[in-house]
Amino acid sequence: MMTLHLWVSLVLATLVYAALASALLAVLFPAQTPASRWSVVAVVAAVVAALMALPGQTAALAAWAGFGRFSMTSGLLALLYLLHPLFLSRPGWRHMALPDGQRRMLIFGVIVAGLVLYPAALGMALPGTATMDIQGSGFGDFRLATILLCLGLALWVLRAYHLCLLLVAAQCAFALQLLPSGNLWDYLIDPWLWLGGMLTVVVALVRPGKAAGPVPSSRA
Amino acid sequence: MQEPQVPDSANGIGQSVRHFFQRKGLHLGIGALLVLGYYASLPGHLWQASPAYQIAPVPQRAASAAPTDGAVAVPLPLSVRDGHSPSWVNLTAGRLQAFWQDQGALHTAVYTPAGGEQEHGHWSDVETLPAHVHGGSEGLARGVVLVSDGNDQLNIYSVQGGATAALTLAVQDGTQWHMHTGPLLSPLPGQRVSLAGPVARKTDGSLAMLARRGERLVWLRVSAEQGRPYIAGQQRLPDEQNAGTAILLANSGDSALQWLTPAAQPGPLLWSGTADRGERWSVPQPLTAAGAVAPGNSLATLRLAAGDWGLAVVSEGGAVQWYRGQDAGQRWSTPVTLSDRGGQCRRPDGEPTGAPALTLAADGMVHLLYADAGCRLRHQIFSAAWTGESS
Repeated sequence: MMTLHLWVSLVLATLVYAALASALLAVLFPAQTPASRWSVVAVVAAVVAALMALPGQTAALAAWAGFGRFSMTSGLLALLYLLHPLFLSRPGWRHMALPDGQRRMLIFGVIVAGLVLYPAALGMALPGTATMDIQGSGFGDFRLATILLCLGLALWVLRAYHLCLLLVAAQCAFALQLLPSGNLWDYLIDPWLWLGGMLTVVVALVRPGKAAGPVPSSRA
Repeated sequence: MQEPQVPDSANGIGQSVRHFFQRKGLHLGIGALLVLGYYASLPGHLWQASPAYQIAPVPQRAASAAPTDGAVAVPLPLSVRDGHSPSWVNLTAGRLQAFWQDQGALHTAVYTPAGGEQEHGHWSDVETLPAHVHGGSEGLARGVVLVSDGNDQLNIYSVQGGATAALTLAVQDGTQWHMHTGPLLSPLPGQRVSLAGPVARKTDGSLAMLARRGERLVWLRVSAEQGRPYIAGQQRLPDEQNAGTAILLANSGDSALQWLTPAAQPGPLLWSGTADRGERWSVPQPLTAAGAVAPGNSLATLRLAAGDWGLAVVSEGGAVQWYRGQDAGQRWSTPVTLSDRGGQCRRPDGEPTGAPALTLAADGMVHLLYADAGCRLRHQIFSAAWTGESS
């Protein structure tokens, strides 16, 4: 029986893989039409959904493909990416697209959070964090909630509304336990998002003019 | 700021959206959402202390009794060549249920102590639990935690799900089992996660159980809601990466001890304490009275009274020894050898197995379960007051 966790995980994985397919298409076939791109995205989404719905979706391959493990942030970013051409096509909707400044802030935040969290999960504590249980703070800890509130307020002052809403969405999804995890960190970031952020930085350093941006052509 | 015009086209909608974005109301609304997010990420809404440890009444028995084999009939002793970690679950009416693993299966038998017309205690027939309740041999390799709900119904916590290791709870309902899948146990896919008992109970009904993620050991506070398990909290262990395993021993509502066995080589038994329900732990210190102990699962503990503990330790040479600590660890008895059968049971791959298991029965007698050097499961009964001077 499909539980709510599996449904939400299915939607998130579908969004992420559809966004990846869309990005790949934008690179391989820059002159594509919006209809062809949406068709391919729909096919990818259907394939991912079918794969996840198959029995044994908890197998190792599925786990490594991120099924059931994508964070809310990854899913919502993928949705923003897929809707990006639509936002750009309507003059009054451009504000809804993720601005470059916020994208950079997001990448920076994801990388820092991943550096704090994942080495600690592997037993490699960063200097100064040896006695802290960073991963454990995700099980409902007022200190982490307060830090996130302060971070959100800083973003709010900077009018980085997209990031504020991403943060609130992850926190509310945690309260509703929409994902198969009881840890707030798993709603905020995931290893694939972290690796994506790192890859983005590497690409930006190697090819400054090609800094990754979720910006398909505005012709779409 | 002007009020937005009523849109009559897509551009009109765009205009209104832009105006909405520019309005102060949006700014304040998102600020309010941030506060909502704060409360959403804080299940207790405010800081809450970890619940106190639940201390069960300790039955007392004044008489000193030397160890005797409890197995007067089948099924013990049994061969557990491939097995690990026997454990006890206390049932009603003073009965004890023993569990042990062998050949990728989880076996159980119930011991009924002497009483009434029964001059000796006796064991029931051995039963093998269905594989799906513990995830089969893979689930057993990751460890299972066995808890009774007080009505002799068994709850089995295990780690199931391959690379997406999830906490799973099997709840016994007569002859039926209800399976509940809980949260993921690791932030990383493919990371090996295992569980270990025994558990310490908390006053809110949650259980503190040991989990190992890769090289790290943590205490998980696990609760269940409508059968579905969830993790209510997590605490790290001091010096976790050098520990083979750990056992939590609640001493009072607020204080507890944790015992750490060496990871790979024989070494000292370490212990540290907490006085604030596990928020902070003292620096681990060696229990010098115990000398070098075997690595890995080589320890079982028992609370006999506040500040009065019993330990069954597998020594470096493989003997099972009994220690009595009093005055909150200030005084330790001379170790008494419970079994010296020539070494520890080892699996074919050379890994030691057969960790001891201790429990205190309703009649105040201590029951020990362990695998001897011949990998035969043995059951001994003795008084906690036994000092080794009688035989």
